[in-house]
Amino acid sequence: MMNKKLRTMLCTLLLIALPAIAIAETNDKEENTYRPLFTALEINLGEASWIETPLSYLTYKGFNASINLEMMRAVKGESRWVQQHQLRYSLSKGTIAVSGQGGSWAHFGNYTFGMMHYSTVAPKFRLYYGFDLNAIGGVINNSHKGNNPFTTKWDVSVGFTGMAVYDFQLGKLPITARYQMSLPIFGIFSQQPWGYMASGLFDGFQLGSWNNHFNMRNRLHVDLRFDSWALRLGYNNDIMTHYATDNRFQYVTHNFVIGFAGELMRWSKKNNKTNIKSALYLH
Amino acid sequence: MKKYCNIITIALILAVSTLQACFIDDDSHIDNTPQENFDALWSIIDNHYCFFEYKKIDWDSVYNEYAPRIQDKMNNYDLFNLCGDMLDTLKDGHVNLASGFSTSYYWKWFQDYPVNYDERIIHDNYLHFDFFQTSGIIYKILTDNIGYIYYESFSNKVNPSSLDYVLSQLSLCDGLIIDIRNNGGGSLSNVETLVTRFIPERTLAGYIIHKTGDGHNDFSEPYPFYYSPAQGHILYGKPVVVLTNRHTYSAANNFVQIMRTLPQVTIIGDRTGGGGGLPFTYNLPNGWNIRLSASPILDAYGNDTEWGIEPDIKVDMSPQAQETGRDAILDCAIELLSNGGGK
Repeated sequence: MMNKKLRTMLCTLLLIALPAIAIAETNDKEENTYRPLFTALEINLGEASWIETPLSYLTYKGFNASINLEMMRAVKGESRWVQQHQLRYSLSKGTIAVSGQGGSWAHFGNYTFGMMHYSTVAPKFRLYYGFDLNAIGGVINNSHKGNNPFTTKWDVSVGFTGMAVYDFQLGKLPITARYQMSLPIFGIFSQQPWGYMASGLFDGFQLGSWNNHFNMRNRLHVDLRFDSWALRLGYNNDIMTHYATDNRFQYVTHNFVIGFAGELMRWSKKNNKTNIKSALYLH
Repeated sequence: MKKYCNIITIALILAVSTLQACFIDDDSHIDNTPQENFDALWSIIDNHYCFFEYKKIDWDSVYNEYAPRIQDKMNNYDLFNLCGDMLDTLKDGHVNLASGFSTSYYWKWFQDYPVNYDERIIHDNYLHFDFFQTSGIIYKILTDNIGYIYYESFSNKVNPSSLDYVLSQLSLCDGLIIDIRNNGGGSLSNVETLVTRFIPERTLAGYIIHKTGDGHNDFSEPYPFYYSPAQGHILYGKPVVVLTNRHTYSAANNFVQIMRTLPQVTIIGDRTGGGGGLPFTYNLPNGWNIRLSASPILDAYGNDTEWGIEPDIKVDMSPQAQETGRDAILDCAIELLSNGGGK
């Protein structure tokens, strides 16, 4: 386990450095234009590993499948802000990593709301930076039954999110490549001390910061844009950790992503003449 | 300036993306060897078992006795038997090691005591093979107008509406016998379902204590827990006798623990088997499960009942009475209730 001093140091460095990003903001003016809703529906398939010490001291490893809905929209007006909503359900099933024995399930539902400002670094390269609110609820079950068969997990946190987006062409095919990282800084979470049967549904709530709570999400995608829709391929990585009530919880997923994305616009001839203020794609 | 800031941003994103390595522990040092599995078992017990002090067990010396017998190439059966022998030193019926081929048990908590129960005698001579049966409960009005309930296991879910039928049928009796001999326990929710039919008001049922750390004495404060009368269901207020033997264990022991505090209830039979710790289950690296007593459940007076509960009236079944088809414990209960009951 990482010591607290190192976590605090990293946290401080990050907090000092992040305001510098704001200086990079440009003052470009834009006319009020049409703002399509960017939507993506992803299937995530990959592997997950987790440890939840009220249930078992061993790491479980297995497959992960999740479905992820993402929506983004530019904020009205001349600002360069975008809103992002992400909704996800994730299911993991695995066995003890070292032996392939035993069994455990993990279910998680996740909603994230983000607000990001963007600046254009180069003609086809933009950086987004802002904050997001992340709410997670889930259950971890262990097949050993007994009086500690499962724990419930709750986690609401606020943190930073940043995104680098680059547009390029492969032949005549426009491609949008993107890397996004979300890093919650503080929040509230539950770490049940003894499992659900002995603890109760909402026991073990803690205030979370990096000394007892570290979550992160990395998303690396390319959208292959075919006219009005895009094929999304990529990689997602999620990390959730809690260290509290003398227990340890870690949940890590690595997923291949396939999905569809596009901007939902009401069809109109006027659209051809109107500026489109897109949240993600360049037009 | 803008250029530098963007470089900082990109560098930060890349730096932070490597942070996960700082927060995720690596369990790859664990191997699935006899030694690792033995050590994992010993450590889980060391960190979670709740009766070391109560039973005066020196767990370190147990390790020193058994660990040298571990061999790298010993087979699963030998390892299982060795681990089972080590667990017997805890003298706890709630401690079991479960593998794909066997489950270890500590039997001595009832092995050296009289059986004090013969189902055939009861069915032949008291119930005459003519009784009602629902929700795992056998019930009948005995010849002396005494109600009789036999509840075999607290693992059998007690349906509240079925229990209404049972108590409604037995409501005209002069008293009620609840026979939980050979009841090895089950779910505490069934204990609550049953107890709440015999309490007139919110009642302190006991206390539960949790381990709060790895030390043998790292315990939380006792948390009281209360039961309230079953609202909208039939309650029973007449004299009650609970029959126990040494095989009355775990949740059945908890049932006795609460019932004996009620003024209209008398406990008759043998000392219960105990099992006063709420068991939790953990895994070993090879997939075997270890169940252990993790959280002591104290009675309403704050006493531990791990070693069992003495009855109000101690009675053993006599071989002479058995030969004539009589159950001395049940006869004692019938006589008490026929004379008005009470402790």
